[in-house]
Amino acid sequence: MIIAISTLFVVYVIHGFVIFDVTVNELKQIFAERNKEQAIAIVKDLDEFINKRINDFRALTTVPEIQIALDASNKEFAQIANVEAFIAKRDSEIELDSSVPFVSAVLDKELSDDLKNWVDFYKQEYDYDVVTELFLTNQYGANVALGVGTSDYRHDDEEWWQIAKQNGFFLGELRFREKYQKYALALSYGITDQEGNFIGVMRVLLSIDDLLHDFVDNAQVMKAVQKDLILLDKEGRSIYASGINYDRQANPVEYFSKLKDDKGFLEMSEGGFITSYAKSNGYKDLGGFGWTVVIVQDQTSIVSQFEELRNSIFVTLLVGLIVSVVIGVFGSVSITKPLGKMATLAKQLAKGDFDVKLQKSRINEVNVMADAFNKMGESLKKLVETEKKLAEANVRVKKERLTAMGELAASMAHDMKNPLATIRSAAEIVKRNAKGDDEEMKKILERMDRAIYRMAHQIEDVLNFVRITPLEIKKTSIRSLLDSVIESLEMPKSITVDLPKNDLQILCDERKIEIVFINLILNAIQAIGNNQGKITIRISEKENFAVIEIEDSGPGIPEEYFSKMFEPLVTSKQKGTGLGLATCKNIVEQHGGTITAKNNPTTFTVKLPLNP
Amino acid sequence: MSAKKIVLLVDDDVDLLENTAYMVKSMGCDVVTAENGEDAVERYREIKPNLTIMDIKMPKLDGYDAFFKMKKHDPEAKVILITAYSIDEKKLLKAKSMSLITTINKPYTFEILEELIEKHA
Repeated sequence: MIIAISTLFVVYVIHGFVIFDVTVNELKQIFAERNKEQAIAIVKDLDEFINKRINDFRALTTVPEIQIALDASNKEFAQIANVEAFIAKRDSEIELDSSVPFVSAVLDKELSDDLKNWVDFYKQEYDYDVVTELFLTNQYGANVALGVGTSDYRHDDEEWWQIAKQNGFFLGELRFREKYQKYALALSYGITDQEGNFIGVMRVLLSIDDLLHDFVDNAQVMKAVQKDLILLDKEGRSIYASGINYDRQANPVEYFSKLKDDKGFLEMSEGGFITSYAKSNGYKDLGGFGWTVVIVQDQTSIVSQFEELRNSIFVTLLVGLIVSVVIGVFGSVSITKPLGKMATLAKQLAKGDFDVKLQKSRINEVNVMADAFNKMGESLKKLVETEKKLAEANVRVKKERLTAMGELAASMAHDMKNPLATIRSAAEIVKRNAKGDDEEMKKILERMDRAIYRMAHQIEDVLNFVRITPLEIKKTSIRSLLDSVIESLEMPKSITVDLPKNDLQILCDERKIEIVFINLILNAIQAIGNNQGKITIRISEKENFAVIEIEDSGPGIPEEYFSKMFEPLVTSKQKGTGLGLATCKNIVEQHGGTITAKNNPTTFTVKLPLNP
Repeated sequence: MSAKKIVLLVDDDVDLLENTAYMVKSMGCDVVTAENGEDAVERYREIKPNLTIMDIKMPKLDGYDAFFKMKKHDPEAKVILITAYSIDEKKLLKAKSMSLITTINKPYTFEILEELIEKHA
């Protein structure tokens, strides 16, 4: 069994390892997919955010204060004869700076303050410089208001201003601004009045910090789960990688060429990185910058976790296997063996051998059972012995009772003998003295005679049956015994007796065998009754036994008595004692012989050993 | 005709004894009775009967012992014992060896009695 379990275990381990590798690869695929989806979401968020910002500022251009101020400025300029010269002159003289208060001489102070407030609001709200530069020009390109940053006086010569005027909106690139020493995105909005006339341009520079604010948050979240969030520009240069570090002079990342599709993940080498990416598709009517969001995950972090898991599972299994083997061995020794022994002993007990003895075991429960077994064995032994003793005692008591009863019967019978003898003798005397011709008297006396005879016979029978005395063995001639019996009995004249011509000498108790013959022959006489009849007696020898058959021509032994006729107190006669045949059986068996009977013709067969 | 035969009858049962005595008398014998072994030996010494018919079970001295005593006194004593089925084998054997005539069973018929008296008295 242990070998089987070990083999199973080895197979299971191998299987486990194979499955494990397959599973881990699948897992990596899943992670790559998931990261890809995340990249898609992040890039979309980024585009959405930029779009929102653009719209926010667009909304600003519709504010009434701006519209009014620009209108006013435009009207003022319209009155100037040579606008161009005016603007050019001013431009060379002034350099506008929002931090310098004297600017108000040229610019609309109120509006500038409003813009400044607006910028400050954003700064407070987000806790960093959202807007790097913000100013308004009128339709001539001259600066009307300055919220933040620095600016020249005129901008109508700039490409962005012209595009803004013509197209209504200009989206610049994320470029390094020397002035501010930071990367910023340029936005310019063409402002129109309610009739749709061009009245000016608003220029905004959004800092890279603002643009990537949410992105940075995402990156930090990713970092916590061991993922790197990277932002690449259209050429594959890193805008963000563990920090905003855009450098337009830098080289693209080396894997940029592998990012072929709009979205996907790169094939992973053994122990490499899981790289998923998604390219910006813009958002609504915003074209987008063609940026790429890349999520890089270190394989080993996943794999190592799973390896840990796998190892711990296998260790657990191994421990489990060892433990189960130990338990198996222990169990076999401490439990199975003793149980087996107990089963064997139980069989023993069932057969009747109560000598059970179980050894002590180390396990308490087994001990309890073993103790119970031993006790059971002892109890059974005692029980059987007690039963035996009880049975013996019962038999003894019965015997004693029988003996007592027998003795009682014997003493009773014996005590009756004397009075009976007296009655008989008196009867004799009366008979002799009775007048010979008194028939009535004669009959009465005969009745008395018969009654006396019955009593005497009964007493004889009882005493014969009860009295089991030792045999007085001597050599006896069966023939002569039979002769004396026939002689002593009153043989009715209607019955003829056919005695055997042969003879056998046997060793027996003469007196007792005489009783047997008397009983059997008397029975025969009574069976024949008053009819004509014949009694035939035969003597033969068979296998060391003398066989004496006494046959009568009577009607036979009735069916219902046949099986129990040799039992005491069983008689078919009205006035029988029921002890005659039982006495015969006792005597014959005491000699070591047998007595049997059959019908048709009625025959009693007595077998006596020649030499008991 | 010779003198009347004398028969000694011994039995502790008085009624039976009297009846039997009557019977024996009617046979033409003289009868002497005793009711126990001791008396029996006494009467025997006195009378010297021709035949003694004696019950075994008796108080004072039982039939066997009385027989032994009689025999001691008179080795020619002719005795018949009436057995009562609780035979003492040893005593019986001893008595037989001392030429006890025979034993008869109680109750006996008068025919038997007659026969015995004819034969032995």
